[in-house]
Amino acid sequence: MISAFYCFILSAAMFSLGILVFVIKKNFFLMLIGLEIMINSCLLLFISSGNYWNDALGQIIYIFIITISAVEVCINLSLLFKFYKINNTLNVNSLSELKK
Amino acid sequence: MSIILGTFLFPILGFFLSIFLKKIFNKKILFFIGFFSLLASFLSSLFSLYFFYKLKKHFFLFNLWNLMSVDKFKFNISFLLDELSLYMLIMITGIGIIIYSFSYWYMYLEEEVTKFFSYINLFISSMSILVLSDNFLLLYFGWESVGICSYLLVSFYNKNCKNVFYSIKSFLISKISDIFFLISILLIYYCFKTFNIIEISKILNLNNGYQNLFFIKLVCIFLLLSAISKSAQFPFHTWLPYAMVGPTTASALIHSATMVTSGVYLISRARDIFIFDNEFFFIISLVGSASIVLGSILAIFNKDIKKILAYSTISQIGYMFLSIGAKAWNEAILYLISHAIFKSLIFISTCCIIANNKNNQNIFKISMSKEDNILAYFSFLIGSLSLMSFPVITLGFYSKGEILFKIFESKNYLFLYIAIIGSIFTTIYTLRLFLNVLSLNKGSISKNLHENFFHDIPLLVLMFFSTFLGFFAIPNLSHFFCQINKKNNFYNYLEVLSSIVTIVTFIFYFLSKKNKLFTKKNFILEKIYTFIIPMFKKDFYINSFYTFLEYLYVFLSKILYKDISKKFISISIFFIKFFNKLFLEFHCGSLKRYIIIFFVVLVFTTTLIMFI
Repeated sequence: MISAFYCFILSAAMFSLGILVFVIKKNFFLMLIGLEIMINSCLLLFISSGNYWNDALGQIIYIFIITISAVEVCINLSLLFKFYKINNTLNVNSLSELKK
Repeated sequence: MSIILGTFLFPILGFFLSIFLKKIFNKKILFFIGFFSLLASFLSSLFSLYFFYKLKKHFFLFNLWNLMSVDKFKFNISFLLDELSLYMLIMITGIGIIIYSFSYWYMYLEEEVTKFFSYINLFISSMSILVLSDNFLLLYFGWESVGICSYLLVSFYNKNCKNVFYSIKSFLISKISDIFFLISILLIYYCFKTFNIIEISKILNLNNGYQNLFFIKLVCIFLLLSAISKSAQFPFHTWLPYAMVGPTTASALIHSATMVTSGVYLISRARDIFIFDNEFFFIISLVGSASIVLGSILAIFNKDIKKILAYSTISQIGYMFLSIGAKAWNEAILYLISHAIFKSLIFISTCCIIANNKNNQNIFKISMSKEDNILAYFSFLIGSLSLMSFPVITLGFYSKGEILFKIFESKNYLFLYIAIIGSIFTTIYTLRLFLNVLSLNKGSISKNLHENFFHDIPLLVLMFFSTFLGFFAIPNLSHFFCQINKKNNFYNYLEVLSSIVTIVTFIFYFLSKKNKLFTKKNFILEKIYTFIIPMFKKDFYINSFYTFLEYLYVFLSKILYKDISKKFISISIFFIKFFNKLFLEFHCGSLKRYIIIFFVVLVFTTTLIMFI
């Protein structure tokens, strides 16, 4: 039996990894992957906490969020295509309009 | 009685006219504007004296207007006319117009002579305000403006940098008096809740008396200090020799006749406060005697003719202080007026001497003979004789004799001895002065100024008043000061004694000149020369003390220049700059940095919420 604490640690590690990916990479696609990692870490947290309290609510919320994230990925990918068409690049910094 | 307004309104009108019409008219017309305004002020003071005697009052108050009134505090522009202020006024305006007309002859070739004329007008008006005012605040206004006029006139030859520095120095030292005077005025208001001199006298002369003696003492101390430094007495006398770098006529008017005597006038005005606390008369006598001895010794060892006259002024004002210390108010004012007459006579004849010797002022290098300028020659002679109180024929003899007698009556024999010693010293330096300057052989000096009406009349008038005839013109204020004059036989003895002293000194001086008694060859006197004479020549190191104070001030200012509070202020500035840079880093437009900040702040806030 794995204790809940390890699960929390794992989810926190995954979340920070997702943030790292999201921040370090300039590529729009890789940033989306970072987002996914973050969402998945949240899901792991929900499930493990539900398991901790012997409650089915955690798994229900998991199903909700996984559908919502699927929808989100769809929207994000469509944005990616548009972005690539306009700029011919996936570099996010080209979006910035603030003059240094 | 409103003619009294003319005494200060006409000169100030002349001042403004000569300032504003400088570009339009030439020197001559500007001179006559000032001349007629001064003449009008002199005539109005004479008329006001006539009306004053017609009214037959002890004093007369003339209220002009109320400048401000806050609750119980009132500041009136109002004049007090009594015998003291009126005779002072006549002395000031009379000597003012005489010297003004003389300066037309003496300074006509100067470039900015119109400036000089306008300053003299301003000075006369402010001096008459000083003398006439019935409250201490208006008196303070006159006091300050007189000091400013003195500064402007001393720095008249401002082409030379040295003169400007000297004028600043003299102005600053006499500024001490103004500050003390202001403090004393504030203390007076604290004590009596009024500035008016007559009301203060009424409060002091009530039967139950004023209770708070300590504050009266303080008022006396500060009034005395202000009078001492304005009248160039012993501790604060150093400004007067420095003030001699100005034009000689200005020195004649301001630094011998009028402004320096305002300290004596102040003590005579505030005499009720001084009489209430009798301790201070001894101190006044001490200051006067110190000034007599010191000023006359310094005059003996000086070479500069104008500085000798300045030191002699210090010692003669010391006589006035000495007579005030013996409560001889009338004699002090009498000697004030007579001293003003003969000292201004010496000064304006010195003008002629200096003009004939190409502005040289060393008494061993200048000379003047009868053929050069007979009028100036004799006026210098008569003025000098009057200064050393030569028996019978001079004005100074009679007025100084009165003072000696009063000191004898007050039974302070120490001060009587000091006064007699002072008259010996006075005789010595005056003899040294005019025996070196006036030569009997024919002079062959090229003159750049030729005598005219404006040169002759002032000298003649002052010469007339400097002889014994002037003694009848000088008023007797003994009734005004409530003094009792009883002249017993000893008065004559004293007169004889003082004349004997003068004549013996005369003879002794001549003998010593012939036998060369005071030269370095004499063995006994050689040691005295090597030890004491440098001290005499260096002003008894009082001036060095002042320069030491200056250096101390500069040293302290150098220390305090690095402001400690600046560091504390600069810490906050540093913080502001640091945070400014920090927050500018956040606002750079890159998305990642925003995200990082967002998450960092999120974590920070959540931890805060969790632990709080």
